[in-house]
Amino acid sequence: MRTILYKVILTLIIISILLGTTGCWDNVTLIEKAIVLGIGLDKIDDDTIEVTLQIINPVSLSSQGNSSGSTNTNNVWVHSTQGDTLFDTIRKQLQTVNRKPYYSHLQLIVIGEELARSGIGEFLDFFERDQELRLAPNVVIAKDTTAKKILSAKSDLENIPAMHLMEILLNDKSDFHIYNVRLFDIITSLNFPKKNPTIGKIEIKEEVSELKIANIDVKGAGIFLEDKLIGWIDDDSVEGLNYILGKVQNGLIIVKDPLNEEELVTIEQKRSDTKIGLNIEGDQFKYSINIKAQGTIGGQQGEDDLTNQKNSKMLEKKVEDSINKKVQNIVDLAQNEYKSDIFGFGEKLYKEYPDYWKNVESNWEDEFSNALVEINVDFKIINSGLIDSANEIE
Amino acid sequence: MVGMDNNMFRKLGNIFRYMKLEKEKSKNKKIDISLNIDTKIPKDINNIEIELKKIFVDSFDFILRKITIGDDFKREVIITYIDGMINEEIINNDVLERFLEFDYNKDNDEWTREEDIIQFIKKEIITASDIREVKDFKKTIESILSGDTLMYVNGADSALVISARDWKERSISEPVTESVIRGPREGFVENLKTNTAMLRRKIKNPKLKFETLTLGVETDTDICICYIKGIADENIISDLKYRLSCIKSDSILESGYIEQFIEDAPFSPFQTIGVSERPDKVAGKLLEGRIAIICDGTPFVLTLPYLFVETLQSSEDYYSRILYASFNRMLRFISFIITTMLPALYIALINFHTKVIPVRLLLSIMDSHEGIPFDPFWEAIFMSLLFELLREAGIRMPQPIGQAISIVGALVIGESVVAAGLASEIMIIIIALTAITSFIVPALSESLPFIRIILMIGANILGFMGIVIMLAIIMLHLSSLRSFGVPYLSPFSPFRKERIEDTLIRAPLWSMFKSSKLSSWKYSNNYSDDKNYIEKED
Repeated sequence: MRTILYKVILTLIIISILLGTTGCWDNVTLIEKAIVLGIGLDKIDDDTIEVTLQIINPVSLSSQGNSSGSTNTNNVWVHSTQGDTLFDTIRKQLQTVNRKPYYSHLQLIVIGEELARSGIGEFLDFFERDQELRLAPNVVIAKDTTAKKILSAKSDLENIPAMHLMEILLNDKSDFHIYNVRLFDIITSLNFPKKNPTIGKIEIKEEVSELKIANIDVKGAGIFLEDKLIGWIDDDSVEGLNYILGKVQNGLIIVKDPLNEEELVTIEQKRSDTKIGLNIEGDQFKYSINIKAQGTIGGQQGEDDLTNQKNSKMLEKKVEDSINKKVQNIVDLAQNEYKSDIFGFGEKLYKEYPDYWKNVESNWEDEFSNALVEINVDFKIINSGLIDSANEIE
Repeated sequence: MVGMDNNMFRKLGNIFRYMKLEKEKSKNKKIDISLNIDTKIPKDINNIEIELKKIFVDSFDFILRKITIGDDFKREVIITYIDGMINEEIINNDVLERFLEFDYNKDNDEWTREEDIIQFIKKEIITASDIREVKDFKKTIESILSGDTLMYVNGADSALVISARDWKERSISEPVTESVIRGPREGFVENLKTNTAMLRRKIKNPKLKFETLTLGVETDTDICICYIKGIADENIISDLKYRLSCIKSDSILESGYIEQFIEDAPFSPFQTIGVSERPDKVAGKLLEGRIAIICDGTPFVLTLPYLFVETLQSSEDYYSRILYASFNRMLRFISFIITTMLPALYIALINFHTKVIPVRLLLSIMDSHEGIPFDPFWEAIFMSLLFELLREAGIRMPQPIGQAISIVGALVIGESVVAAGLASEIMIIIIALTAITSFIVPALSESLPFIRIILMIGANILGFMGIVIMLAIIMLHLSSLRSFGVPYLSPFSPFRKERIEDTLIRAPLWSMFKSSKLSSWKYSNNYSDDKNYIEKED
């Protein structure tokens, strides 16, 4: 009887102690957290970096604030600190931010051009190492400007500018001029030797006193050699790159009407599939890029009937040429101008001919430049929307 | 530090011991008020009168009428009863009037003989249908108290019990606690006989047994054990009888008294004996091999063994068509999960696992939490407590004021708490959801607050990990529970394939008709092997 009594009392005491210790360890309530949605990395000088955080301002998000209709309230707080290393700089945030910055919902990482040119390896290391971060955030490089400036841009549409920018990047599904990579993609491409990442580009279209996202362009990409930025490609080349990497599904292709050179036809691509083949003939590798795509006629300036078999074939040929040109363009750029294997050709070789790869690995830049690349495009027009040909205008 | 702990234990132990001592003292002081009467009926009618008046002193409802009957050879007769418990018409017409009208001279011979007088009255004079002869004086007193009319005759060594019980009782009405859309509209009443009759009307089979006994030293409450012989497990019946025989209580005022005396796990939040007010439901359970205990004076009938799945079942499930019935079963199961786990999950999510919340949802949660001074755990506890207060107040209040409570409750919870910044809107939604879903599983309403709080504590200490640990503890407890030897989680654990069709879904009646008659916990096909048990004569 006595022992049972003691057990009961002991259990009660243990439970009450447990209840009292709830504040410790991992238990952090929401109001103690500062949710960081965007982070910007810049290089100030050789030793100093600047980290800019876009932190949600929870008070201004409240429904009362929104209903008053004032769009000028600061929904986010953009705050910068400077330091020697990334971790050090991030920790220094605590000297000005009262709540604990919380990175798990990070949406966007903006890297300043200067820092990208000097190498992003150190920062990727931190992002990979820290357990609080996920590898999901989208990464962009700010051309000719600082990440701080990009993150300071306001959005007229969304409460949080970082979300606005991030969702623009997600539009790469329907517009293949946008190049979108996640932190994870960059890390995996850097993990393979001689495979280089490409990161989407963000730039300021026009300098204004109060920068808004409307003044910012998200298109094109930066080409890297290992972890250093070496150059830029424009949005047409990004389209080609997206084809080779098999990342595009949807997008618009504008070609000239095969029957009337002055009129344009807009084709909406619905589906595309890319397969890269590899053949070794003697000392020469030959890569074949086989693109199979489907699309519909989305719009047409003239009144010609493009749906009959003959015209349709001609139109398909035009589209194929157009794709071929764009792909060839980026292949030339990568092989000749930048000598950077951004397509993962080396990885392909490694996977199919591992022994051969060992021989060429040390000299892969040259081998990559000299590799033969064959582009085959097969485009099919599957329908023409709800009508056959344009209505005759009378 | 250790020494201090020991001291503390000793002091607490002393307190408990003192309390126990006090309890024992008060037990000894108790006054014995049980009847101490001679068993023999006095021969002299005057002695009987004195004795009765002594026993029923200060009881205005005790009626004693002394009359003299017979023409030449007169006899004194006492008729006693408790006012309000008999049908006076029967006594007047079938007893008193018969005495006045009887032609004593015709059968003078027998009338004058002393020894057969009781038999004579019984056979020749009284026409009331239910008459018994009792020789035990103490038993006659008990009969009077149960509502019988007693007739003592001068010179006889036994008395006549004329059963003409009739008292005002509530008419059969729809049960308030278990309402259905489709199904019988009748509910049990307070009268035991009416209740057994309702069951008998549903199961017209001689195998339906009603065994009666009385419990409670002072109250002498009539208890009835019902079961269908052949379907119900004999071991459980004998176990039940043993447990009932062990009850040592002064009073049994409601079936809840019996439940608490005989249940398997008194300290468990889960009940191991079922309660119902619906005759159709109890009849269904009897046919499944369960045993019912009807207690006089309450419409709530106990059924046992009681399993966890029964908390999710409703009699309506069997009356509505299978798709809808199965949908309702699922709904109840989901409600059970929501009502127990939702606050805990929410606390774990926002305190530990913010990572897994989609960003836009996180923003709106953050928005509602901004400026709330309390930890979400205490916020949840506070809001649940508020809900429990309103619930209890709503029940206890008289009906007209009860509505005022709900208005105050809606205003306090819905508006003021949020406006004052004491709780977040989302927490109120969470607590409101748990409240609504808890009404969907009323059979579990007694255990829900405990499970909810245990899970919330786990969530607040270790997040999802804590919830899992607490769930494991609850599952361990549930699987160790037995209701009269039947595993509480059966048919899930131990798994019974043939019973699973009536759990989360309800299989078509034609497909489970046979097995639904099986006793739900046993493998044996004792019913289906011997169909004579329930088949009626063709």
